[in-house]
Amino acid sequence: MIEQVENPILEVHDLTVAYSNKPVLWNADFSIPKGKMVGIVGPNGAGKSTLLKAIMGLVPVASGYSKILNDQLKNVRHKVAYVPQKESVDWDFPATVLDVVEMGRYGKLSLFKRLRKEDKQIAVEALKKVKMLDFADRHISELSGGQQQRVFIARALAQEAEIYFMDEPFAGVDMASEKAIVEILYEMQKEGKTIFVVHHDLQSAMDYFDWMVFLNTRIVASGPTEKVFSTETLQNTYGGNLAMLQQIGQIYKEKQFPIRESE
Amino acid sequence: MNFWNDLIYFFSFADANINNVLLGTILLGFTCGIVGVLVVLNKKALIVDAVSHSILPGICIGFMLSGVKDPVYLILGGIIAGAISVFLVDWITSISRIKKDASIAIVLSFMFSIGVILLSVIQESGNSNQSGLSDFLFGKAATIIESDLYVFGFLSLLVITVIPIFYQHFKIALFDPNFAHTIGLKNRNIQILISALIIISTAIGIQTVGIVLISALIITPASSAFFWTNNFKKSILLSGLFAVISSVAGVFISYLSPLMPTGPWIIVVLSTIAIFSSLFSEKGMITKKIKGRKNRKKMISDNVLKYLYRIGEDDNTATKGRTFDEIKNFRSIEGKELSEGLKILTGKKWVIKAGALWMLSEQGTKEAKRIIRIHRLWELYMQKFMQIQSDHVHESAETIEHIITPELEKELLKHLGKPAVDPHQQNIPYED
Repeated sequence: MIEQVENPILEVHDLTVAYSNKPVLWNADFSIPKGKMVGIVGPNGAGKSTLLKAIMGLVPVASGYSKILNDQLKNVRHKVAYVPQKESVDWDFPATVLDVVEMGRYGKLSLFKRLRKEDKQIAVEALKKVKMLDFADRHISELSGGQQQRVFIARALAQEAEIYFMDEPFAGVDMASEKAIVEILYEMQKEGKTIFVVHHDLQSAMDYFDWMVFLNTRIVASGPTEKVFSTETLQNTYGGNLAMLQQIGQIYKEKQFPIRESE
Repeated sequence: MNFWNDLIYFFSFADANINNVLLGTILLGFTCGIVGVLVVLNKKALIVDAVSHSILPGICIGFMLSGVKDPVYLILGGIIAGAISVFLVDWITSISRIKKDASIAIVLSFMFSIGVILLSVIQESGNSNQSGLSDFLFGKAATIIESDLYVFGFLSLLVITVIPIFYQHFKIALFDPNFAHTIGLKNRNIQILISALIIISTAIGIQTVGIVLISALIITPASSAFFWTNNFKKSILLSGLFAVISSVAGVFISYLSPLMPTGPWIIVVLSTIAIFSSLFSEKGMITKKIKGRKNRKKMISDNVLKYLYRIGEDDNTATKGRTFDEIKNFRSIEGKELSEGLKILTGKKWVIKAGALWMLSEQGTKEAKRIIRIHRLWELYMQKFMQIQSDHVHESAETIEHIITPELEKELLKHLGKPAVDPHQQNIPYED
């Protein structure tokens, strides 16, 4: 079941993404209302991160489009914050915790300008919110996984966006940090922000999110958690016909059989 | 002394020839040094080698077309050839399954071979201007003249001004390109700009250290700088400084004994700085060892102090003098460690030696009490707040007692109140 909404903050229309001709995301078509805490779940390789990257323009799109606040991304960049997977950067980079958070201010400011006093204040406030102010002058390589994640979230907070996209913020994070991060996200939601989170744990997903998107190459379901969270959805996302597809794929591979007859 | 006279003359800047060489190498060194930080953080160290080797055919063609050894033609040829090599490396990786490192190796050797062939063609041609062209292989800092300086100086200043202008772009895009993209940065343009900086600084830098060694002039100072600072700006400046110091040293050495080649000496000095950094900076190996030794000493002396107090703790004779063997037999401590600990403690005047007896001074008693207090408070804390059984808390407290600061002690007391006894029902000694 895919529940489409009026005046969505995020609209994804028939989005298809392929990596070297192999489709990883098929005709994703859904919409998200403003102010929701949204969880994207699905098995490994379902295309969760790809969906996020496609929305953020980080991977080329084969067809379809996405709109944020009914506009193209390039026109609303300052209202959008993206938190990449923390493994995507080299934490040995010569920068302190505060340096990284201050980068968030450059979304609003010209990169040729120096940060103003108020920008630095906003960065400090963001660090305070994620309880990392004591670490402001530490080198980023000295942080634990959970702390690295909180620094990334602080950078996003410093962007003062409307909608936040977070790629696996709970991956490789201890339980205490996960709880702390969830609290921060609830705080943000209270301030009217929309939060879009790639998540891998179904159990906690049910508690954390009030809107869920089930994904496995195609969108299986999208809607309020209580409406879409069902055995049927889970089966469609995690098992069933896709296991079938995999078996067929295996046969193709073993027999070296052509995928199309004309080949 | 001859050396001092040479030194004074060299740095008196009275000799115009020396000044040209010095100014040239300093400018080129600084340029290569600061670009190196971008290169290393961009994980592009290998591409420098491809660019430098590819510059040779460019220089040769520049010479063949102009027929003179005019630095403008040579460098222009070099820059164009360098750009071609960067393009080739990317092109090969994009159209085939050849990985980047292999692609770099292929382009590097292909272009260099062409260069060597062209070099022999030029030598065969008998053009009298050609002598010295092969100096580009190992550098020819000593022959920098004023007209060279204008060309290198212009390009150096170009590089040196571009980096601060695009400082934030580089910082954000090199740390997190995905994030950079989402705030509207064009990663592709930044990559092109960095490639351009690499090509320009390589093309001018080979003047001093040559094609074969240029990658060291770019990569080594940056790699050394990261040992000393965690700040992007400071690492750029430090890297530039390291390259300048080595350049001056290299020029000076070859001035002292003219048979000595400048370029290789610059690199030797630079590598020495790198080795020194890896050993003695705060992140260095030796520094870590020294820290470890210091910690061990503190542990030993703390323990001896504690034992001296503990022997007489129960019958209130903690400040009584004890013999060496008495202390040694109290807890199994090695004689060597005990002597070492006592030596440190008498040095601090925490322990006083009277004849064959060792006793705690007033200050020593205070310190011993502090260590024991922290030990017992921590045991209590673990039992109460971490739900650890009382027979499992001692081991951790043994190390914790050496590192807890007065602030943390206050914090502990805030949590625990002011308890009288620890989990083993032993009194906790307070100051008052």
